[in-house]
Amino acid sequence: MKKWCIAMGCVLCLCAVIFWCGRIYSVNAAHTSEMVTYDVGETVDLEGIEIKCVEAHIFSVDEYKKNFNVGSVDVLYPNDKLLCACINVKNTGDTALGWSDVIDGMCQGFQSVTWGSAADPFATQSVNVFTSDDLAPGADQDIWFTTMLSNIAFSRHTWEHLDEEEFYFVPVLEPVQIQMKLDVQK
Amino acid sequence: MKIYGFEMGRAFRNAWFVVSVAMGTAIGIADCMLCVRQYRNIGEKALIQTWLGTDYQFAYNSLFYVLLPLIACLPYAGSCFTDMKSGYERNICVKTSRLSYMAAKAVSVAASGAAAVAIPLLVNLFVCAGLYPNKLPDKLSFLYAGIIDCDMFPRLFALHPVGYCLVFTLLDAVFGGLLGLVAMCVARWSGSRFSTIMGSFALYVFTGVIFEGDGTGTWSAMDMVNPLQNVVVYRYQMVTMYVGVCIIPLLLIYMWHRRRDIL
Repeated sequence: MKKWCIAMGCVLCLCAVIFWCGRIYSVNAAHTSEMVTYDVGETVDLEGIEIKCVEAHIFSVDEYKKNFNVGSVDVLYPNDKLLCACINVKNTGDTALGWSDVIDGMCQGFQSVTWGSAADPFATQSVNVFTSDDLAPGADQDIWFTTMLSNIAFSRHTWEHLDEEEFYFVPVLEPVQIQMKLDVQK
Repeated sequence: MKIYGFEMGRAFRNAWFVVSVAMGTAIGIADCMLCVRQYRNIGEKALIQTWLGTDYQFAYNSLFYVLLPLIACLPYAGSCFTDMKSGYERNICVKTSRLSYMAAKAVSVAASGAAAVAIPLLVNLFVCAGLYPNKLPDKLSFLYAGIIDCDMFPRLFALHPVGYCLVFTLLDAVFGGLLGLVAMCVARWSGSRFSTIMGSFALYVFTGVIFEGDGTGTWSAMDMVNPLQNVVVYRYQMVTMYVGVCIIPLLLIYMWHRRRDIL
């Protein structure tokens, strides 16, 4: 009787495991990848606007100040760097778009395989010059976005070989994440 | 070799092993149930967010990793003390050498400790895998464990989350086994089975708090074994800790039992 109970228990456990394996398969089969990756130079269509990366750089603090002619830069450590991307945005719709809507709808941040950081819209406030209140239909504008690359967020090896890392600009997170590969100029 | 099989049988076929595994599994299942209650829509969450090791939302992760030494030592580490006191080892050492007995004891204590730690983590992974899809972690939504480049295995976490879970399960299991050896050392100075088990627990918690450091490189074992990696751990620190926790107890056990009069 005891052996029979043990055998039945084992059979029931085995059935439960097999059922759960099937469930694991179905849960993962129903799930689709939620990320679309665009290669360097490709144009991304985001419902009413088109964006394209014009250029991207990794600057040291001094290089950043010199390049953008700014006085101070907000970093954690003096040897931190800044990842900057110039994105060309074009209004492909029929109505003019306010700059807040444009920027909100096209910039979530930057990421690599092992790192991610939100873009800091205030860091490039003095760098970006807007000559109108909104983006008129058919018009386009270059906008700089930047984020800090802090050395404490990277391993020593990665930090010393930052130029070998692949960085992506992320304009949209939901419902499908879009990432645009950056051709970071050394 | 017979003594190894015999000690293994004692280690794995005892009520304390079942209690220990049940305790760890219960923590995992409670974490899983809380996740299901909070997030009924399975599309909202990913497996790596809900696995006990990397679920930072609820207290069960902390609970499991604080209780890790108890889970590891409860099954068989206490037997070192009880075998000594009851005279059991005298009967065994008539039939086999003292060294073989201690080696078999160490292997079975380590194996039962490793299994007691690994089984709840694997069961929890298995259960969560049937509830939530194995999505890749999204770094910019900040809803996942913050494993980035400065942490250990960031690429594995980003590209193969299940692989990350399995690697940390293995590391935790090995550490559970080593904690069993620490408890074997403590048995010499302890006055009861309870203090044998609690010795490694106290050591783990005290060193865990004292050596936490400033966040950049820690010697706290409690932080090292937690897959959440709340504090940056350098690989050399982890290797040093594992080697140290392996060699020191083994040396102490050997030195103590080499000349101890059993018979």
